[in-house]
Amino acid sequence: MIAHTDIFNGIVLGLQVASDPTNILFCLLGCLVGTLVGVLPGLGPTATIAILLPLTFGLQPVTGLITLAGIYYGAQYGGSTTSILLRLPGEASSVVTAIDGHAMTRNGRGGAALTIAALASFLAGTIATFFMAAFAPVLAVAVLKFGAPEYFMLMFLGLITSVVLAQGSVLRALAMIMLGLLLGLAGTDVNSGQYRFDFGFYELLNGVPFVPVVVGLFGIADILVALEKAVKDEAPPVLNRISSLWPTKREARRATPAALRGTVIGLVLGLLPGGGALLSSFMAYTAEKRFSNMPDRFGTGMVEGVAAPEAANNSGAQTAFLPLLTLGIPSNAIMALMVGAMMVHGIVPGPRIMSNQPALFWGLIASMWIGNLMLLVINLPLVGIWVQLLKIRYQYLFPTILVVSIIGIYGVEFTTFDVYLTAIFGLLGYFLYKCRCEPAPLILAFVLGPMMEEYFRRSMLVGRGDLSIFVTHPISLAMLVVTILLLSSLLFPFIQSFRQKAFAE
Amino acid sequence: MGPGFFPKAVAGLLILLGIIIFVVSGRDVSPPEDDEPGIGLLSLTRILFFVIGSVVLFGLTLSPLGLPVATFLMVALASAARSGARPVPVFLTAIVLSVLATLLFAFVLQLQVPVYPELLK
Repeated sequence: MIAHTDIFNGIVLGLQVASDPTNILFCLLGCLVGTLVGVLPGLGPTATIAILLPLTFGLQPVTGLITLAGIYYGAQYGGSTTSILLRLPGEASSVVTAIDGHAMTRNGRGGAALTIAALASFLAGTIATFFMAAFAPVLAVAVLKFGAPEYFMLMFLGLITSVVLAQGSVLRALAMIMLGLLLGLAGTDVNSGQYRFDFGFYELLNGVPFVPVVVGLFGIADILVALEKAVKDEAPPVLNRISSLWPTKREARRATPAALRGTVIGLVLGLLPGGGALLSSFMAYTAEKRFSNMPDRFGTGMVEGVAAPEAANNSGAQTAFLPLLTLGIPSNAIMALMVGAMMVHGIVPGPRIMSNQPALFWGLIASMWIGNLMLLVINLPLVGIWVQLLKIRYQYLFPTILVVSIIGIYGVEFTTFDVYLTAIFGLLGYFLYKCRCEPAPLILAFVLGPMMEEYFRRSMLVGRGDLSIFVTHPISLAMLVVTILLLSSLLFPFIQSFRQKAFAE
Repeated sequence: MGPGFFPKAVAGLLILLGIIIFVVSGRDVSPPEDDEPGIGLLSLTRILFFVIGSVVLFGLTLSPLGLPVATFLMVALASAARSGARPVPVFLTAIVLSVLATLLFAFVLQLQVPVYPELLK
């Protein structure tokens, strides 16, 4: 089994890799860009990671992943800053923080709120790192029992869960999954060499390229939507005076258990397919309110209302990497982007990663802790600057995004086909938005599609064309049952109202 | 089952879902918040055409005209998509971004993109 020494060696290796000067530099870069993106409303970590993905191709795989990961959890920090100070959540996962966080600012305790958010996030990040280090080897061992049917079922479960636990219409999200699967299936069939969905373009023989799809659906479509909304650049609301940065002893005493509770919620929810930072923060806030002995005071500036969601979104963001690193299966759209990044570097995500690429695996985990430390140290002094950045006019911001994205995309394969593809998917993304369809399930399915088909075909080979193989294997059957339960739970009014209330923001 | 099975099955499910969504006719989504007035069809068409068109334009002009010119055209067209765009800021933004982009991508990152127009070669 996994010995303690293996984990210890792993952590040591990880710290060595993560302390490499290049990796530290790019970790810092990622965290800064992430915070920036988190502060600016409208540009999310998903689109940013998609846009900067091509630019990381020249780096070492570890360095590239460290940078992209830094953007993800850095955005959680940035989003909370504007959430607390200006009631402008820069990130969806910071929406709940705004409720009590801004109330604290109105009470003159804005500085304390920021510090509590930062410390809670750091605490959560540290615990999450240890959790990942300890839990990942266990998961990797358990997964060795997985065969083709189990993998297929797990991906299927993951797709369905991400739809059920997310906001918006489940029907349309399912349709998005189907569309994503179809897009992912385009290209050359592995087993027979047949060309599918290539429309006569030789560029599509290897499948629809990943980056143009993501940048088009998330980046370009965002720009189209923002321009349509004719977002007026308002001057940022006046910053209330921050009396002091440090929380009082009483505040700290109440915030700490809340942060711990939030961390645990994030640890668990981050692991779930479809989970991550957003879901974790919502759940943590709801749980705090539910289990507090002063539920009515929430909204007036309760420190628990800041500490818990902030801790949860950070630990959730980190544990969301676990299914990817141990099973090779992305659990949400951002992880799907990480898969894309890995595959471009020639690294196939899967349970073998821990043994084949220990430096990558442990280095990434260790750098998350280092990144959290950097964010803690940097962010509080830089608060003033972040707020000033909100003054950048969108008319200068969006052409910049456009330039970086498009040139970056060209730089991947040096073919203008990719550029035209981006334009097409940008248009598609806009229409999906108009049709109230979420693009995230599409991306997830797009990445999982080829893998799912391969495991399905293998299962059919093993089972000689008999579909019952999925129910005769116990683990696969269990997952199928859970999936059906999840889908049918949607029919219950309790779940329906819960989803509506949770996402009413 | 062959190479066509999985795509056909998925496509079939998609068609089925499409029919269900059509039949449900909007009862599956929360009603849209209609507090902002929509912008006119002309403005919307302009946004869509100009932004998407700017990307296509970039693709078309990159080889013949080189990176700086292609970027300039892309930024100019895209910036013009915004309602309330004025010629001078658009022009300046385009110039600044095309210069910065060329410096960053062609020189700092050493990306192999054509910089000079074909005609000058």
